[in-house]
Amino acid sequence: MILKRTIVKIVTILTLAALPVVAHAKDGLTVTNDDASIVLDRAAVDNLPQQEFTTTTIWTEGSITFSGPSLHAIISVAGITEGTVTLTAVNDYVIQIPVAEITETTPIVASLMDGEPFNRREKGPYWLVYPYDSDPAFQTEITLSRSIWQLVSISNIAPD
Amino acid sequence: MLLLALLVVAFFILLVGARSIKTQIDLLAFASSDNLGWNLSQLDVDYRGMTIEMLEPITPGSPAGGEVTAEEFENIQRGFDIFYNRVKVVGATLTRVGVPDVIQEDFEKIAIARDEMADLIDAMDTPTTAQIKELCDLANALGAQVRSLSTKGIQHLSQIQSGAREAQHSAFLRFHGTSFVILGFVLISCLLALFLWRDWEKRSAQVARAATNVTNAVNAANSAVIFTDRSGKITQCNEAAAHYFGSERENLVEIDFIHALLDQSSLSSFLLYRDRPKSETIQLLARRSDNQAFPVEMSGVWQKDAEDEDIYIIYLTDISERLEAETKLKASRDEAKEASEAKSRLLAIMSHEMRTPLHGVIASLNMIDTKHLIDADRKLFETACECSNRALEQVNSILDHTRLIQSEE
Repeated sequence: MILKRTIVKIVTILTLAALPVVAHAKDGLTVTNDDASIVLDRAAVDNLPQQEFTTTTIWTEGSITFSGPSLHAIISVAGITEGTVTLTAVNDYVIQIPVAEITETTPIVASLMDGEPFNRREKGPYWLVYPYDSDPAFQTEITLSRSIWQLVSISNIAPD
Repeated sequence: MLLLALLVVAFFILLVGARSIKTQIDLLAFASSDNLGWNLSQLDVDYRGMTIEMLEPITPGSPAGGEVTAEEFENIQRGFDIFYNRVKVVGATLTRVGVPDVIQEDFEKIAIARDEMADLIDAMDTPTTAQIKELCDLANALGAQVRSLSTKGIQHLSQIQSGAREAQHSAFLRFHGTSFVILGFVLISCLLALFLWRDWEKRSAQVARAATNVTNAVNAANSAVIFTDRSGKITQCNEAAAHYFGSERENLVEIDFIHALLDQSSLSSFLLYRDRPKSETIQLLARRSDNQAFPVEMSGVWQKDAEDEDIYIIYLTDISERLEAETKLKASRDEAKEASEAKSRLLAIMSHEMRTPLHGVIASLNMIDTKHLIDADRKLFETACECSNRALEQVNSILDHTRLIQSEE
């Protein structure tokens, strides 16, 4: 188990080293796996496999088509495969999601709304969203509270 | 049928009731209104966060000493963007939940002021403290509305949630009532089921008794009783049938009665009789399992079984002994008849043979001249005549009797 974790860490560090790192870039999304951090810029986010769905939300008017990589894809880039991830917003709103509850397609880190990027005043640049209309299970208090907008960082380190 | 209908009705009431209460509870779900409450409270928090960032560069003793640093401006922009988005979220959720005009008016004022501030900020590149102060004044003027919207909104949400709880209570009460109705249906169904069960048990016992009696009667019968289907295959038979054909009952089942148990010579008679039902019996030749033929007397009748299928019931009686007895009886009768005829023939012959000499005697007596006879001889002569005539009469009587018997036969 320890050997496996060590190998994963080494591979992760090597992977992270190979990725384009743009520190403090605008629209940057910091992903941290233990001691290693990367900042994904918009291009890096856009290069990940994209998911798309249309849904309404309780915070917006009308149906919106959200697209972007799945949270699973983003934490996989950082080599996070177990435990709990902590997501932080620009206003220091923090939520935690067990990795076991993250599927390969849901939730997504939306970077486009109706095909257009959205800025900080519109909950951007990244918004963690679920396909709320597709299943009542996505309309619970837990899911709604996890739908963090103005997302700036993802980490597997528990907050203080 | 009634029981089934009652259970179906109960099921539907339960289903409709459960769906109805689920729908109502879903409609009354607090998830979205709780989220609105959170956003309203955060509106005040974000407003204050924004104003703190704005106050930072214009507060005496600021590190930049009267200038607005890029970092301070970035912090102001971030604080404003957070507030901007919060106002947008609150606006969307207020529209969705539906609020009184007074709250909506507060919101409109905040939205207008926010847009004015956005225009100001967007126009800034490297803002001066004076510009930030102007911005701060706008923000300060907004404080009362933000506070008012937050408190009024929270109060309104409390009312909504209170109403929702009452509606939930009512929904549960209705479901409670529905449950009692269902309970009633189920109780009636149980009583009906009990009644039907007892009736069914009684009927089953009667049917079982009747079936046992019929089975006993069939099995106790001396005649063979065989049930065949339309093709002639045996479906059931009694012990006598098994005994007749020298086999076991279970071995006879599924056997083709016509071709396996009847002699070839009787096939056409059987088929003719079966296809043209008659009330009288017919005699056939059957074959045992060891292929030995034996005569039977048969009658049959078409019936319908429980599945409304045609069945042909065959009644067979082994008439071997009866035919044997009849043959013996006939032989005895013929023997007796022959003896009687021999006797008659003897008598006739004898009578005939006796009559001829008698006629001779009588004729001879009649020719005798009685004038020269002495009295004693005359008496003897008369006696001889009388005796010969009487003998002739008796012989004639025997002949007549024999002829009469022969003619009767």
